[in-house]
Amino acid sequence: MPLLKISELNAGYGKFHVLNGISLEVERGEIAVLLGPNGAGKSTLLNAIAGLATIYSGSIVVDGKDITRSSPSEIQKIGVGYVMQSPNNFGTPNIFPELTVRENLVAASVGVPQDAAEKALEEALGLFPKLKELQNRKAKFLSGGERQMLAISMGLMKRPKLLMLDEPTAGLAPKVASDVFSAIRSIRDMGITILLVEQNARKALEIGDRAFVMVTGRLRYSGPAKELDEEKLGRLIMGQ
Amino acid sequence: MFNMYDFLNNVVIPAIVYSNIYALASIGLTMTYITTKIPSFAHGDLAAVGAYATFYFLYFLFGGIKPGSVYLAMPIAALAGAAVAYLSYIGVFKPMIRRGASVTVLMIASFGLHFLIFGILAILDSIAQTVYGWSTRNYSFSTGEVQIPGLTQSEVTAITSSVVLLLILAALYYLLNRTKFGVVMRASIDNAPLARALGIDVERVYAISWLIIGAVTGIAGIYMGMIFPVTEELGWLRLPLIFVAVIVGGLSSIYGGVIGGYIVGWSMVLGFNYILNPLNLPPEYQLAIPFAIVIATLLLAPQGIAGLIAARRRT
Repeated sequence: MPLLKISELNAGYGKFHVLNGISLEVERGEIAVLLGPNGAGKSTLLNAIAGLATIYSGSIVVDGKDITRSSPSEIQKIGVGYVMQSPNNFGTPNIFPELTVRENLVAASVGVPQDAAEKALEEALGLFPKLKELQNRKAKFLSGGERQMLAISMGLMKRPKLLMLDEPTAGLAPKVASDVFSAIRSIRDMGITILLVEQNARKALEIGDRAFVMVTGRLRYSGPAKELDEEKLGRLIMGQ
Repeated sequence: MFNMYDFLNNVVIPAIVYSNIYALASIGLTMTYITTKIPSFAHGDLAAVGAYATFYFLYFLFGGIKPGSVYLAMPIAALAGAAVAYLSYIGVFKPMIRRGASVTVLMIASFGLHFLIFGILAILDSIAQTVYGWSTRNYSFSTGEVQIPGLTQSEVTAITSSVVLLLILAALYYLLNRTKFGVVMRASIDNAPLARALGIDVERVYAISWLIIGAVTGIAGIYMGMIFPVTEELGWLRLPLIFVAVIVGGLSSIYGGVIGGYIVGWSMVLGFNYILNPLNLPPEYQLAIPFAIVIATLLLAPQGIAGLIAARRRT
């Protein structure tokens, strides 16, 4: 049974229809890469899974549970973590700038029992040792790379089964982006399934097991990441 | 010649009392703004609710207001203010925010809410007068202040209101900085879309914030009632100066609002004693001084005290 199964999904924001008949499956323990040009609906698909978009028809099933009509907090409880793009569709960053690094992680652990939250916090700080040094610094004073590491750590605080990452390397220097990709591999090795939206197609396909390509709200490709290269991706995007 | 005793009694004590009243009231209005971005014109009415709840409670219990009794009623004032604030949010503002109401629309709705609360208080007042024969209009809580031998009522109020303000600030500091709920509340204020994406029930957090807003403002109503006559307009008439305190404080910080409250209180008393009195101007002009300060603030430092402190930290 796939961890994530989306069937004939039509979704958007209010009356603004974005996704048209999306169907896809993500197996447990794999890194699934979602590629496509700007405006393809990649972030909207993640928002729909997270309960933050309007779903008109279709279904979303995570770990055998239908979450199509569930609230964001219920979806989190079922085991979906979401690291939004920064700035996201709502124009806000993917961290809480006025809170310290530690407080950001505490806020992300809402609904987790105290003991488990403490353990998750230590694990998150262990995954990114730099954050441990900066744990009492306000997030607004972090560099771009440190902010992304914090955002990813926040996504891990509820020990999700599925972690969705929306453009985690956008705007980062190549070395920092490389560190983020390494961290994504480490997270997969922890047994967490990853759905990654990424503009850096080459690097994403390198670490991905499965790939999806979206163009103007429709799915154009679904298959092994190995069988997709930048040339084929370009042709798919151009509609050839 | 400078007389220390006169200075204490005519300037320091009244300035502390006024400042504490405006500081207490500004805490709630600042929280209203930073949580739900509503410049609420019904905020002063929460103080009136607290004052009336105190009055009814003490009359039911003692048949009148006895020395020290207002402190017995303080939890009731806080509860009544909290209940009305909560209902205001749940019944009026939350549904409007959900439908995408603009700040202007919310502000106009708060006007409507002011008249609703005002009307309900007037009806209750009328019932209390006709059924129980209580004269609730233009009452003062000054007789309900504790009595300390050797100290005047104003001096005692200066002490008690300072203690209450400090206790409330300490409790808020603890809540916001030392508890998980406080972190979640600050997160919801800082970045509501992200908070929702992380599964935080932002609307529930705001609803709890409104309980706190109402409780603190209800308590402010008791102190207002010690200085100003208790009527349905008790808070409404103070609202312009509460707005001054909040704007001077920078809108974004509870502590900035408290400092703004102190600027309002001291400027009124100093202005009355050292500008209006020597020039034989009527006391009504007292209001002009804080408003002059808010105009100067908006011209010179529109981000207010909180913004100035934040800018200083950045350098």
